[in-house]
Amino acid sequence: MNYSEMFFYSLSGIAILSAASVLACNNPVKSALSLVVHLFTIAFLYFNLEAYMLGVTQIMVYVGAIMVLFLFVLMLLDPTIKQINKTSAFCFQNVASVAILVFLCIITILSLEPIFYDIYLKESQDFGTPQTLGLTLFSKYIIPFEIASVLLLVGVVGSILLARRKS
Amino acid sequence: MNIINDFLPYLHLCPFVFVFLTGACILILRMIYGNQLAMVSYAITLAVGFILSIISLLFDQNIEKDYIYGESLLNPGSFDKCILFIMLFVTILITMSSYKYLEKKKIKAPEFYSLLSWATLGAMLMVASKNLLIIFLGVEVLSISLYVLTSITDYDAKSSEAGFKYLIMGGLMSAVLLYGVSFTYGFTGTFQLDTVKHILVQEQYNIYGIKIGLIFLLTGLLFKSSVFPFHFWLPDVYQGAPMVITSYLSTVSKTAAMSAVYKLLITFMTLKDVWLWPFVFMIIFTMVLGSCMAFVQKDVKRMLAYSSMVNGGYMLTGILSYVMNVQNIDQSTMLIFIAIYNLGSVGLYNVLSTLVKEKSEDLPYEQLHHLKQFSKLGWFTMVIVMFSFIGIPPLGGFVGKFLILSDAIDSSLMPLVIAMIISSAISTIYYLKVVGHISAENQSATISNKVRSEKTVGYYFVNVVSISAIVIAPFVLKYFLNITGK
Amino acid sequence: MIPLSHYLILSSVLFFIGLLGVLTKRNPVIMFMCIEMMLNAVNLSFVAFTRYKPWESLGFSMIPIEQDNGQIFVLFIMTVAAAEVAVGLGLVMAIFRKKQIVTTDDQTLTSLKG
Repeated sequence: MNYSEMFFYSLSGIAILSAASVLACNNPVKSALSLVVHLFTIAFLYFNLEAYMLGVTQIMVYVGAIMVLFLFVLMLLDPTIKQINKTSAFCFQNVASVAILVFLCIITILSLEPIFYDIYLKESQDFGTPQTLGLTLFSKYIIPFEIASVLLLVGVVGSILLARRKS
Repeated sequence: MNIINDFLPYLHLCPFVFVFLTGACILILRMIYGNQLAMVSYAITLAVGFILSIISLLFDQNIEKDYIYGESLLNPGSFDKCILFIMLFVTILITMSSYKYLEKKKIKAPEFYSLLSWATLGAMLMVASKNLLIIFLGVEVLSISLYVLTSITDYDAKSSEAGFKYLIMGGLMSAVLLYGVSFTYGFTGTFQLDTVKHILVQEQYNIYGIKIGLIFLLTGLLFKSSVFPFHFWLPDVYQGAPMVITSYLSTVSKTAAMSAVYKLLITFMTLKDVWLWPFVFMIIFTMVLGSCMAFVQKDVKRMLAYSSMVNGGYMLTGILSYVMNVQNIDQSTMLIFIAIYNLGSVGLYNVLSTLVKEKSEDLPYEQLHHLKQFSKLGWFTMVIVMFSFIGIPPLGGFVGKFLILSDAIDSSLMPLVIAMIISSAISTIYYLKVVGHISAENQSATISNKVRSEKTVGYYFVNVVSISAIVIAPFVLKYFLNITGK
Repeated sequence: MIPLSHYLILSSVLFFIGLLGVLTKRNPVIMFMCIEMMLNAVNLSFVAFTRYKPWESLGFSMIPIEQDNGQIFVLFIMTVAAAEVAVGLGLVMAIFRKKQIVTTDDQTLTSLKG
């Protein structure tokens, strides 16, 4: 086992454990903190895949912005509210069990398919550098980029409209 | 001159740019004039912007740049253009019918209209593109605007609740859709559906990865078009949303989702042994179960939610019969059905939006009474639309259903034909129930008419357009049939 | 060397943990967190696919002339997630203001029955 492999397997262990602890914690703030750990491990997995730009973006956007927003809202509402482990409001226990079945099927398929096992990393010089990403983003993908700006505008207008309300 | 030359290759983006600018203009007007402008002026701004967009859609633009491998990112064909035209027109009608309603409900009109136009932009992107990235962004622009619009009313907790459920389920299904996109990308190396199709045909490509991708992709999009196992959000959202948004959900949003499903089915035609039979069963359940559920509802909005689900099933039948038999069947069947369904629904919701109370979005059947005294035109519109949905011969709805049935027979999809006939038979009962209630009269007439809002120019206009579309449709059929050039 | 399948299995495990959370949890903020987890799982599989390029190893003759870059898609997914969270948390705030409680239990989020 070389360095990269050890890195990957320990990271994936942490990722799965922290994801599970998001679900297992009774206190929402603790869940949010384990989600922070989870998002960090994902960022390090990106580094392991040499997607440096994405890893940095992940840390800045998710951990730096989105998670702060989550924690902010949790604090603003009421951090003392405990989750009660009764049935969910949507009554999706059955659906959840079906989902797990599907999940098992996919795991089996993925592990049985020989094609997946034959594929290993190839040499790649400038895979995840800001230059490569920036050049493609602003030449080939300029229209999706503009649409993303519309999307953010919708998000801004919408969240202001919802959160600022006279009553 | 150089600047102009730089812009020329992007001229075909005009319809989309106009729609975006409309929303932005409305917000800017709001910033400059505050509350001095009447609501109707925002509605007019939206209508003008959309008419500009329709006009620019009619020009044939030649596309030079903006391509990734010789394929343009936003390149609507003639069929897509017809759907875009229908969507823009329907949005204009919804706007015309809505300004009095917004005043009654004390909804902030400028924000409402700008979000409505951006939602339409998202729907247009879903229709106009064959690129999974753009389709995904379109889905998201449409849904995020709709989450906000659904929960826009101040007084009603039900509205926020509907918006919240829609958001959670929509977010979940976007993630599922994305998982599908990731697998499709992983095993073809492209986001472009045309290239995916090309690879599938050329290589007889048949490994598990792409099938998993297809299943997740279809699940995500079928949720948006509310097909049988994924329809649970539909009645709640329809009931909680403001009437105008209910109208938008059952017309523009549904049409866009159907168009995306259609593109997906065309792309994955070679893998049809994976999806065909599950898909057929889903459509059968959508139609039969939908009409049974509509039958037992006590609220008109919930009934209409299931009714739109059933109509979505008819649309999917049309799409499937086209996809199965591309050589012999004309796309115009789908266009005719979609156009008539959309215009009929707009007229219907236009009348219903005058009937809801100021502080509540619920609409029990009793609230329909005395419509004839309140508005003769409204009553007539409701009757015509209901008869058209039932499929009474000279009306548009009959033509649409008949064409779809004959197409389904041509593609030998007999189970769908039978299910469609059964669900039509069941649907007759609940549509007639509505007709009965709007014609009913008893003592409390004056009370229930007081809460109804006054009728505006837009109200009459939308009703007339809707009636004439349904009545005239069979006579202009020949013209329609020539659109797609077969 | 780590084969592609290990990344895919990891991503599907994370995806389904997220799915399970959305379907069973009742706190709306936690539900959003689980949706974020699902989106992250998708992102991971996107980056892995982009890095390994499995379509080149599958041995078919027609490789797309110009391939797409999956990393770009990841950037857009992050944008979408941000917008969705902003709107969603605004909505949670609005519901909270109307009802003063934030658990999706019997008193709050069940007046509409699907």
